[in-house]
Amino acid sequence: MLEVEGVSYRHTRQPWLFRNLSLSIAPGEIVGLYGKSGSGKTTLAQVIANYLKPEEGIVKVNEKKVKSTGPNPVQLVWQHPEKAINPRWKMKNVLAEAGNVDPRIFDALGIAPSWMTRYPSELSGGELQRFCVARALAPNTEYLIADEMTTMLDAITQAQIWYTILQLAKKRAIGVLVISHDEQLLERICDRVIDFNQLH
Amino acid sequence: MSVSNNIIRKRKNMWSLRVKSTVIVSVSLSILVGMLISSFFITPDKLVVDLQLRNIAPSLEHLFGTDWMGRDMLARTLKGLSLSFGVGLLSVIISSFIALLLSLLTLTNKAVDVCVTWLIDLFLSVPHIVLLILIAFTLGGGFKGVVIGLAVTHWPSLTRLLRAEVLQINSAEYVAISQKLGKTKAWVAAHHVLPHLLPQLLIGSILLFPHAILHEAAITFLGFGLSPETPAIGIILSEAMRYLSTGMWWLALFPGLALLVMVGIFDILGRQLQKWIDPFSGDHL
Amino acid sequence: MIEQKYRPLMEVRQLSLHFHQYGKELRKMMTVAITNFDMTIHREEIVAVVGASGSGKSLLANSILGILPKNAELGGKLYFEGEELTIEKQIQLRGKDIFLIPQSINALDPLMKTGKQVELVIKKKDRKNIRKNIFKKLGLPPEIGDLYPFELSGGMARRVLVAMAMASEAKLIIADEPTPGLDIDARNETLALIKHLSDSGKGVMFITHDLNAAHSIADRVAVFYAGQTLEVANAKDFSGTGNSLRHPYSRALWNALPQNNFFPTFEVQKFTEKSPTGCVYRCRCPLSTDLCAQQQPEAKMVDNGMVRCFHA
Repeated sequence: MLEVEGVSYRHTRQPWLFRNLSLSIAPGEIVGLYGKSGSGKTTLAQVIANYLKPEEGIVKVNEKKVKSTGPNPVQLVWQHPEKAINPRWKMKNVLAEAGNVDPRIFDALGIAPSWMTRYPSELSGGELQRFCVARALAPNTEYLIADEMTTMLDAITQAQIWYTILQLAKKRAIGVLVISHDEQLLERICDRVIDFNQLH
Repeated sequence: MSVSNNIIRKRKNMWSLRVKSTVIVSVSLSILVGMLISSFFITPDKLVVDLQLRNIAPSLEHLFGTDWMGRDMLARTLKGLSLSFGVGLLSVIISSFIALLLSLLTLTNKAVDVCVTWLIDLFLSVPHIVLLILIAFTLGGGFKGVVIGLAVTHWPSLTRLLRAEVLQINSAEYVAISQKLGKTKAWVAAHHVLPHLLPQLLIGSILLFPHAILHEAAITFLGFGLSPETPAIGIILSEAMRYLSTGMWWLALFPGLALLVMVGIFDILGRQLQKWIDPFSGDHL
Repeated sequence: MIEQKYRPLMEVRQLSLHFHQYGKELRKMMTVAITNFDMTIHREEIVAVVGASGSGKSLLANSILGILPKNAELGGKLYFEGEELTIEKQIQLRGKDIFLIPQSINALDPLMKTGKQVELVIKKKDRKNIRKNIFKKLGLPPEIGDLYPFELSGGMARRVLVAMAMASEAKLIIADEPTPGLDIDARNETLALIKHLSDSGKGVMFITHDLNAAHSIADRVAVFYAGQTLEVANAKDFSGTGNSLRHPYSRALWNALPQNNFFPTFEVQKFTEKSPTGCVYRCRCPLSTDLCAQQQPEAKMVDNGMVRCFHA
C-alpha cells in the first residue's frame, strides 16, 4: 500500500500549493488524477516519488517511511523524456542504470534491439519515453507515478505504452498513479479517478 | 522525388569547416612539434661561447643572429621554447587537476560549494602576476618555484567554468532520476558529471597554456623565475634589454616573436578542438 | 461547398525541407525534415496537420512564414491567393496576411501592456475601439488591456494571442501546437477560439499532435508522418471504426484514441535502416509488401482528399 498522509508543500516564501493532502494506492490499482493546470499536481508527483521533501506529512510504502537513499520503490516518469535521459549516454546504458530490467519489458514496450546502441538525439520523443518507462519499471519498483507521461506523444505510442503498463501492473501488482488532463484516457485505464482539488 | 529541381531557397555554398579545421590544426601542430623536436638536436656545443662570432646580425648562417658572446640565437630560442613548454605543461596539468577536483567537490554539499566559490573569488581578486611573484619568490624561484607558482595561480578561472557546468548537470532531471534509482553521489559524479566535464577540461587546459607560458616568461624576465643560467625565453629577453640600445634588435625580436607564435598556436588548437567537440557553441553555420 | 466558390487561399505543392549542418567532429550532414508535403487551405476552413512530436510539423509553419535558419534548403512551390510565395513575398506578408499563433505564450512582449500589443497589429484608425470589441468577443474584460503579460494567467495570455490574430487582417492563421499542457477547460476554450477565427472568414492551419482536438474543429485533417502527408481526409471520416479512412496509419491513429478502441498497433519493424526509397510507413505497416519497399507511393486524389498508399 502506498500511503500519502497529510502532506503539505510550498515553494520558499510562497503560498501553500496544497495542505494536508492524503491519498492511498493499493498494489495493482490504477488511480487517475486530474486538475487545473498550475494547481500543483506535478509538485505532488515529485513529493510522492521523494524528489521533494514535504513540509508536513509523510509518504509511506508498506507502512514504512520511504528512505532517501537506495532504489526508491516509487518511480516517477516525467513528461519530457528528452530531459530525463543523459544526452551523452547510449540507450543501453540508460537502461542499465535501473539494474536488471526484465528484457521482456523491452519487447512489450516496442523497443527495437537496434535502438540500444543509439544516442538519445537519434530517437524520437515517443521512442525515448518507452525507455523511460522501461527504466522506471526496475525490479524494485512497486508504484509508478506517470505525470502527463504520454501528453506529448501520438495516440498510437500512447496506447502501446499504456497497454504494456496495464499488463505489468496486473502481473507484478504495481500500483499506478496517472496524472493527466485527458479525461478520456483516465476513464479508459483507471480503476478510479480523483479530482486534485478535492484532495486537500 | 522530383523536388530538388525547383528550389525556393538554397543555402550558399561554403567551404567545408571540417577541411578548413583539419588544415589549420595540422599546420599548427607541425610547427609546434617542429619546434620541440629541433630543440633536442641542439647539443651543448651549439651553444658554446665563440667570441669571434659576436654580435652578428641575422644571416643565412645564423638566422636569428648571434649574441654578445657569439652564441647562436636560433639555438638559444628553440631551447628556451622547449623549456617554456615543459614548465607550461607541468603547471597546466597540476592546475587542471586542482580545478577538476575542486569543481567535483562542490557536489558533496552546499558548505563545500560556498568554500570553493570563496576560494575562487579570493584568488581572482588578487592580480595574477603579483600572486605569482609572491609564491615563486617565497619558494626561492627556480624551476620548482615557477611551476608551483603557476599551478597555484592558474586554476581559478577554469574551476569557475567547471563548477558552473557541474551545477547545471547536477540540476538535470536525469541526475535526480539516477539518485532515485539508487545511485550514490559518487556514482553520479563519476558517470554523469565527469564525462560531461572532460571535453571542457581538455579545452580549458589547452587554453590555459598561453597564459602559463606568458606568465612564466614574465616573471623570469622580472628576475623572480627561472635562474639566469637557464636558456629560458624570459632570461633571453631580459638580457637582450641591455643590448637593445646598441642597435642589436635581433636579440629581442626573434625570441619574442617565437614565443608569441607558440602561444598563438595553443590558442588556435584550443579553439579548433572546441569546435570539433561542440560545433554549435556560438558559431553559425 | 466552400471549396468551389473561392480559389484556394494557400497552396503548398511538393514542399521539401533539408538541413545542412555540422555534427560531431565537424562532419557535414544533411537531414531531411520534410518531403513531398502537399496541402490546400481555403477561406473559412480549418485544416489540421496531425503528426507525432518530432515528425517535423512545426517546421511547416516556419517554412510558410519564411523563418528558417540559414542552413535550411527549401524545395517545392508555395502559392498564396494564387500567387507564388517568394522569399520577398513571405517577408512582406508575414505578420500581415499570414499570422502565427505561437506554441508558447512567452511570445508576448513582456515589457508592453497587452492592449497596446494588440492595437499595434491593427492597421485601421480607431484602434482602441476595435481592440475593445475583439476583447469583448473573446470574453476578455477590457481592463486586461492595461496589464502586462506576467500579470495574466496562461489561459488569458493565450486569448490575448488569439485577439492579436483576430485584430490582424490576416487571411491565413497558423496555430502551432496551441493546446498541450492545458487543462480540459482551457483546451476546449482554445479550440473554440480557433473555430471562431475561421468563422470570421480566415483560413486556419492548425498544427497539433492531438488527433482528438484536430478532428473536433477541423474541416480537413492532414495526417503527417516522417515528413510526409500520408493522407488528407475530411474530418467526418474520423468516426466509428475509421473505415472511411484510407491510409493504414490514419486508421491506426484513430483506433488508438482512448475513447475509441485504444488499440495498440504493434510495430512490425521489418526494416531498421531508413532507406530513401519506398513508403515511409512501410516498416510499421501491417499491409506492407515488396512494392512498398521499392517505390514511394504517389499521391492519389480521392473524394476531396488525398492518400499516399498502394493499398488504398
